[in-house]
Amino acid sequence: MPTSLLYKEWLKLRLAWTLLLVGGAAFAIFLFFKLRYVYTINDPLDVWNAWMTKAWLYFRAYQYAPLTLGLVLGLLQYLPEVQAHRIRLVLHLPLGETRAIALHLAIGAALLTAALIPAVALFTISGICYFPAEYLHNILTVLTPPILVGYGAYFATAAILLETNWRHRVLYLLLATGGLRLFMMENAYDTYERILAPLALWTFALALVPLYSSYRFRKGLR
Amino acid sequence: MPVIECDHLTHYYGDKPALLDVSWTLQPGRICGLLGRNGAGKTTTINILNSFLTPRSGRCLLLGEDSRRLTPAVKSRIGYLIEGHIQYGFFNIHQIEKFYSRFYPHWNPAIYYHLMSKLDITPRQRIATMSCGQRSQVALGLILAQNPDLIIFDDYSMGLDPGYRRLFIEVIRDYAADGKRSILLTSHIIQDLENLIDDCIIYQNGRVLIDTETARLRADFRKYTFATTPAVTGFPAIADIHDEPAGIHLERGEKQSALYGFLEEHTARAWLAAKNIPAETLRPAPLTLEDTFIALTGKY
Repeated sequence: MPTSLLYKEWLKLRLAWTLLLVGGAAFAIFLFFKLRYVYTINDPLDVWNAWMTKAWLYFRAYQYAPLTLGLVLGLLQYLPEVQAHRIRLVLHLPLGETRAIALHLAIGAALLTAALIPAVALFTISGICYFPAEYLHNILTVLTPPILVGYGAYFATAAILLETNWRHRVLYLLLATGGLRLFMMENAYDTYERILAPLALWTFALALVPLYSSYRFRKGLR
Repeated sequence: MPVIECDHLTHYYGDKPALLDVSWTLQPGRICGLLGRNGAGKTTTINILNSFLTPRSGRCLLLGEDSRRLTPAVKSRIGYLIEGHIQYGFFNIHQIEKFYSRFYPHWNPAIYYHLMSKLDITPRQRIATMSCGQRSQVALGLILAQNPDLIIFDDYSMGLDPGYRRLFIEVIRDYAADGKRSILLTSHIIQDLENLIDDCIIYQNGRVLIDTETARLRADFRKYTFATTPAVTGFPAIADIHDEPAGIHLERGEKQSALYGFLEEHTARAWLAAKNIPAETLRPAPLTLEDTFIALTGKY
């Protein structure tokens, strides 16, 4: 049954997801070549120093990409489900209702992960190629919050779309926007080092909200 | 054991009552029409049956299980047509069959493809690009392929032309011919249900107005017509008289008036006489299920 749901979601999202994957990867490749160009015309020490002291990071422009990917993927996955109450088709399947929604969320999160992998791989490779080994850990630490924002945006979009009450929708929107904003306030060297675990916990706690929204839908709570 | 058992259902939207102490049952092998005017409570009942709504009080049992906690095993025995023949538009007919087939242990693709073979569609055509009638056949075929013991059709006739409505009814009738399937359906096209439904439940303002066998309703509910005389023309300040306690409805026309109710001819004459309405030409008239429905629930 999970494979059947995966089949449905894949058919629904394959074209849009492929475009998101290609777009995200192309942007990361562009930033990779930009870094190479910066190295060509500057001394590596200056580049490393620029990040350490001036918070210049070559993939800074990418920090909004996971947010966009999560938001768009959430919209594409759940808008067709909530239009004309199509979500009832899923909830009527002989599968526990919570399990059915959880599987949809897992599939969406997996597709988001797959769309983010090329960029993460490319930034890791560029870190290995162009930065000292000590920097690599920090590159990944700085990259992680925007990626968590991508997942948070995806779960928040799902929760808002599955919710039937406008007041709850506004509340989720404010909570998600306010909470996720904290993830994108800095991108300097060593930022978020000590707070990554709570941020990850907050993000994945957001996965419970769509389950609550679907529960409210099932009970007819308005 | 009843297939559906609604037990003292009461529900409100805010302060507005939607269902008030509604109780009825559907027995195995029966086709039941759940009828009512707009806002009578049909959709609320269907939503409660499908656990998309929790009633304020009362409960529904489907195949012996509380509708709020249906197990996957029982769900697989219930087919449900959502109002408007909602299905996933991004599938073609083969993909959607493949998707649903894995969920139902008694899946029978033959009945689905038999219905699809009658449609003028290409194999790779997406459901979103089909006409409303074609989509209804896809939705119906998928439900029948489940081999369910109970089917709930919520306003199956919505958006269908007379041809597709007739086709829909014929398919349902053939499917239920073995007497093993139970079907609950709602529709506003009551003349289509005339020779289909075994039982008839009519809602009025959130209450059960009539719950009886259709044959019995047809036999006992009568229509009498009589010429509208000047006295009658002069009598009512309004067009109709609706005597709810007596279950009698008088429809006044310019030339011809009609009296409806569960009443013999002599009772009809006595009622009219008591109202000072001359009706010498009173005689029984043929009555359709739709006439009965309108007489019982009114036009306004």
